[in-house]
Amino acid sequence: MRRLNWFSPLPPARSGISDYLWHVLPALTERAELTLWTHQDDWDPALESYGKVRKTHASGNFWRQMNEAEMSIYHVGNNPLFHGEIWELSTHHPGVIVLHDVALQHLFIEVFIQYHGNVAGYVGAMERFYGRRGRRAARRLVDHECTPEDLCAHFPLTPLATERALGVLIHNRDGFDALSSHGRWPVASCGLPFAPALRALRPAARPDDGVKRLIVFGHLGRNRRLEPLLEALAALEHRERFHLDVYGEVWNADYVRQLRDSLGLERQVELHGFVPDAELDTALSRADLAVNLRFPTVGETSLSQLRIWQHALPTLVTNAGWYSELTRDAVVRIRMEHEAEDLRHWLTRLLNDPELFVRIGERGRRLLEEMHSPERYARVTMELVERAIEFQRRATAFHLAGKIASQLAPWEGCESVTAAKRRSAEAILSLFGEHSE
Amino acid sequence: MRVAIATVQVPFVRGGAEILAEDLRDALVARGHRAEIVAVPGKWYPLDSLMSYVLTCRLIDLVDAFGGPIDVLIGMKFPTYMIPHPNKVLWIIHQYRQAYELWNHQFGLINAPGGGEVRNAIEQADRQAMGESRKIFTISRNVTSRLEEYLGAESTPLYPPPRNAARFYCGEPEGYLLFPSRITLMKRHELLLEALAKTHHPVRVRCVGQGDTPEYAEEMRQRASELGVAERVEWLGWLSDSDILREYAHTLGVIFPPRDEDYGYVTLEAMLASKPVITCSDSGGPLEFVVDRETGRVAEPDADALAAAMDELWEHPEQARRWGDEGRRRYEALGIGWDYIVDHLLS
Amino acid sequence: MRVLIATAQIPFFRRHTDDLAVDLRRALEVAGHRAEILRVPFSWNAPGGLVNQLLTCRLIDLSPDEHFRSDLVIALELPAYLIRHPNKVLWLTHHHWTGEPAMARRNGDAEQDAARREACGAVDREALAKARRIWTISATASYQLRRLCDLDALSICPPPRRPESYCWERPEGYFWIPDRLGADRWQLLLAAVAHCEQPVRIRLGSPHHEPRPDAELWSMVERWDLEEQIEWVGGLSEAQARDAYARSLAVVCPARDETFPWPAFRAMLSSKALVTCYDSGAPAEIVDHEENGLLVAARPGELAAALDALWKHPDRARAMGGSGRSWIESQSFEWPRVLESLLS
Repeated sequence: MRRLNWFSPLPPARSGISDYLWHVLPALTERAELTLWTHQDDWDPALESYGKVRKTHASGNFWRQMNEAEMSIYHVGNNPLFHGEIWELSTHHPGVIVLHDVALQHLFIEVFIQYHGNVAGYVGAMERFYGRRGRRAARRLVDHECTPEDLCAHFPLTPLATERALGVLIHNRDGFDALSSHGRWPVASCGLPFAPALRALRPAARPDDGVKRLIVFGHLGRNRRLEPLLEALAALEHRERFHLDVYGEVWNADYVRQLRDSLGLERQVELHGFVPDAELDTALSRADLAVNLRFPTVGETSLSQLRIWQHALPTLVTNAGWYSELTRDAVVRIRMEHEAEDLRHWLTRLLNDPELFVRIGERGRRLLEEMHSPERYARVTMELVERAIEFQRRATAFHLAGKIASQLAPWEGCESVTAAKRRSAEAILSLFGEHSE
Repeated sequence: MRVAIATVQVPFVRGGAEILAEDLRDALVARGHRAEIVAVPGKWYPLDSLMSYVLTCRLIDLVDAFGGPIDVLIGMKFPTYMIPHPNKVLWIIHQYRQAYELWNHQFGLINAPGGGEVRNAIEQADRQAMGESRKIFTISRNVTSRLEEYLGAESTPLYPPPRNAARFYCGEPEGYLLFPSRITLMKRHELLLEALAKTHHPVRVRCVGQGDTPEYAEEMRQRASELGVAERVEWLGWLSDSDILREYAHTLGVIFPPRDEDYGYVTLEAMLASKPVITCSDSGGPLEFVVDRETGRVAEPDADALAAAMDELWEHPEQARRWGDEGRRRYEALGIGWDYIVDHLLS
Repeated sequence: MRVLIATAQIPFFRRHTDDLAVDLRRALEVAGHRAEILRVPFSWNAPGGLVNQLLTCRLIDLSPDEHFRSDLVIALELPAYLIRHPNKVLWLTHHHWTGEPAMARRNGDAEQDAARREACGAVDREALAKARRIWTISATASYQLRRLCDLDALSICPPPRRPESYCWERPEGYFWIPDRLGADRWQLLLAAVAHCEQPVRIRLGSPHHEPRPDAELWSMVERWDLEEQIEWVGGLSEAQARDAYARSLAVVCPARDETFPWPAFRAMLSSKALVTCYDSGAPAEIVDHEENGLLVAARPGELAAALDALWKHPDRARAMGGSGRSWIESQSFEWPRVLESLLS
């Protein structure tokens, strides 16, 4: 069995990635011996049945223990609280990077500017990957002339996380093609694992009262589109035939309540706040349609979508990022540029053609079982680990080549630089290239 | 012939390797060759600098020099033996030990972030350098067997003679044992102090050499106090050549218990001064020369065994003298000398 | 302070810069610092090309860190000033980007030179800008820097080596050429000797164990039938070289763009007249025409006239030599003052 270092937020940390551990660990620990590293002070003791849990830097032996494992796996997402340290470690001790977000602007802005006060580091990184355009964009952000969201699409800064990676695992196809085209590290893609057995589900007992129950849940930021949803509901002819339950923290509950009341939806829309998992599951099992819109999106796969599918629930999603890759019949896609129109259309359709929605929900559930099985996920992960171990032998060559390129960059433009590049490439390959390239 | 000797230059650090390169240059010049030391500057930390250092060496052009080609390149130290040359001969002092036999040791790369990746890279580069060299020599059988074990590379030991070999002499013992080594972890002064605390006789030891850091030297002094042997240890620090020769001449015997030494001039110097040597069974280089109970003692690397060996010399000075004489006889028989080395390197 | 002195190393070739590095190290040590000389192997004709060698230097990172203390790098020449260090001072002994001027340019092909200049221009702009302070060793070196890089730098004159060991001896009938000459100046010298009316004799040599001028250059002596007049005395020890100055009639420095003032200083310390050309650089900075030597155009006829004049009138040579000696005695060269500037 391979020995692996594992870096991710650990339950009960409030992070989708920490929830995902329960889905991945049982299958993965059958194939590898894991050490779960964390800087959290507490973690769910149940984790210790899957591997040793250790605190990073708690002992002087930290690097020794790291080196004793054959590969390290780093989970990188946008929450700096959890992923800042994980990313920094991954630059010192390269390993497999699991990308949970397609754009990592938020992470790097926080890590460089908020944590380290290193504006130059952030601007430098933006310039390194995106040239002068990147530099200008970074300056605009520093000067508060734009928001991190504005930068995500063109300057995701994800390459900074994968720069020294020995392998990259992602959860959507789109990113896979982009990353594979580099031809550098081994890349694998696999849908997020979801182990339905983890939650005992009651059979759906949807009350037949003629009211269609909609549900929205999660950490509800403004990008979750509550406002247009409420407006669409208000504009429906048969608004009284809908009921919307909102679970989870809302970015500004007072404002949302006010909006609801002003639209006259007091009776149709209920804000429940944060509730225990069991209660949420009950609500999901009773619902007819989930609404899981996100815009702007950083394109991540959503664990909440998998949870929705577990209940064979049809879902309205934004046609962007990971959601745009989903097969047409497994979700209902809302076009961003016609959001209000599409919402009205599909909500009305729910009243008229409920069978269609049941079929969509079932298709979603099948997709979950086929594409998100923990077994498959563990297999793909371990195959990637093997390729990463293999790639490690050549990683130094890539690293040095990058260094040479950056040394020569200021001298670019003269003919002899090309010759020097060729010569350096030969030197690097002769020592570190395993004579295979 | 025009010979370039490739070695490293880590600024402000000078040790046996630098001296050996100079001795080799002088030996070549004395035999009518033209020789020059090429010391490539660099530093070992952080590991990123180390890998750049390896690449720097690989990029150096040393085929041609002023006034014509360089006929032979003699590579002595990692990573300077990466310098390309069509006629490259290695005379290896040691490899980058932290990536090999010291990997798991407290100095080893295992304690460094990304250590595994660097270890792989170094091994690959070493294989390449060994493979492209015309011949490989080492400074000791110990280094030769490490090359064999870790890289499967065949090499021949060529023992370098100690500096001032002709000036060593033997005088009357004056009631002390001599421990001539830099004060640093690998030389195991602490083991000596612990052993000293266990001797039955009032054995006295003189330590010649400076601490790699003043802090470590101070730590050893304190350790001596803790163990109650401070009165029996003298710390002589740095000594001039003639003072060192004097210390060798008048000692009862030499203590040299390092951990896996590459070679160790100390053993040969003791033999030149007709003195017995106490070393340890894991000391590496010295074991190529010290024959237990014929030219000294080979003790287990623990305080009790080392204490017993010291007591034995102290109790039987006549036997110590006989072992010392036998050491000198064996040194003569080894045929260690620069003629031999230069002939082999350039043949 | 811990100071690193960075120079290039051209294996089997010892240059004034190498000597200067040794002197500088000693001066730093006398002043209580720790100093070490770093030499980066360098070759003007390296098959890998010049940029490759610049890159090699660039990869050498000697920035201080927790394991390694170094406070300052004093770099004496290209490409050693590319070594990475946050606190670099340059004291440039020369700035010949287009090749070791005398030696490498012999086979210089114009296209290659242009490529070199282009690459080096880019490198210079970047590297020189990073230095904390730039000095040179002479006005000639400063002029080179201005011409090639459009940079102004003041010069600090390197004190002569062991001035007390130079002395005057009775001339033994030869002109002493203390330095290597490039092909063009070698020709100039031979043509001048051929032009001379007097039976002048020339001695050449070079310090340390260097080979004599290569066969191609030496064959010209034979072709021009000058074997009687031009004598190669071989690689000399420092003492032998001092003796060669001391017993000469006068010292001739016809090199082009020489940046080191040392040979001129040595002539004066030995109370010898100095013959040099307008474009010879540092020697021309020092010679006061007709006062302590002769300054002539780099043409065979004019150089020949100067040699003839001194050969015919040794007393004039003697007087100029005396005046040179008085001049140099009036100068004060002191390492502490040099260090004050370099370390400021």
